[in-house]
Amino acid sequence: MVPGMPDVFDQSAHSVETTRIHHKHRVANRVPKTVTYAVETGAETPVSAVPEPKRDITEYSETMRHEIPSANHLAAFVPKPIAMRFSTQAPTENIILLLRQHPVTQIGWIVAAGIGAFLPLLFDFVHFFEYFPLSYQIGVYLGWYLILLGFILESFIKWLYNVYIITDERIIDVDFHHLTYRNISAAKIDNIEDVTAKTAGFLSALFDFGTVTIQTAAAQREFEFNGVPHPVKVKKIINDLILEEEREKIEGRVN
Amino acid sequence: MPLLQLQLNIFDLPASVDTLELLLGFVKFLLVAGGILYVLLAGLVIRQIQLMKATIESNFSNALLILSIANLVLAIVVLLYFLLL
Repeated sequence: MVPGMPDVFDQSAHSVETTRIHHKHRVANRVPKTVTYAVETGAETPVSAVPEPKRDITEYSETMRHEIPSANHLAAFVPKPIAMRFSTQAPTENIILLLRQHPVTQIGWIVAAGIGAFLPLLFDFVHFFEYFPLSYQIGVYLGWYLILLGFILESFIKWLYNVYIITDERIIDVDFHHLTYRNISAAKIDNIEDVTAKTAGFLSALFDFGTVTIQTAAAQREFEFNGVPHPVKVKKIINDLILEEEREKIEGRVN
Repeated sequence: MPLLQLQLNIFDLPASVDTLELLLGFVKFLLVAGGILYVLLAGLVIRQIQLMKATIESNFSNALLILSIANLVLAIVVLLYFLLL
């Protein structure tokens, strides 16, 4: 510490707990953690401020420390996705987690598509189209399988692009309910007020998926991550991010 | 009389050639209308994938776009088949 420098600049003298207590008093007079003083001139005011680089998630989140960065963007739980970006991502913003609904939640349309694939066999069984010329019979089958293909494609795209993104700055909910409806909403981490994880039902307990509900002070009051894998883990990660966001404010680090 | 047998008996009636042609014409109309709708849907799928590709850049976006274009080509081929019936 530079002699003569006020105690308030001595980070070593303040534990995180202590600074949290004095947060309300200090937040109004934020000072960057790393400052340079004009020692030679004896000035006590900082002449330049060098913002400390943002900490990596593994430095403060025990949960994320055990997660390996993933390049499989088709998974339902993608920690620290490699080579993935989104349109409104800031240059310093890092994607922590990308979530989709658990594959088990998609079983409904997969079974329906499977039944649909074998339904034309029933037509053969009842000889329904035997009075039609062969070209018409082929046409009807083609039409049926085209409808089926469209149904599978739409259901798959809907699952694929209905994503929840957690970055070290924001949470983003990309809703893709059907082909003509798309909604993207976001809230800053420091606007999050409450996070709850809910697992209900036999399948949810068996495959460890559930709903994470996030209450915010942003324009959109509530975010619901439906049917996502490892809801408790997701909640822990968001809580770690909230704590880090508070630490950044207390220590005056730039977002 | 079982329902299945009743349905089959409709076709067993001494239908004239005109009746069958009318039925086939109706089936063709349905197929062509469905085909046109599907081509429009396939175009919409491509547009949405392009938009989502711009929203989220990931390693599967290009493969999915190629798949959706193949789907549109298939839809056009099937529509042409329906028109030539």
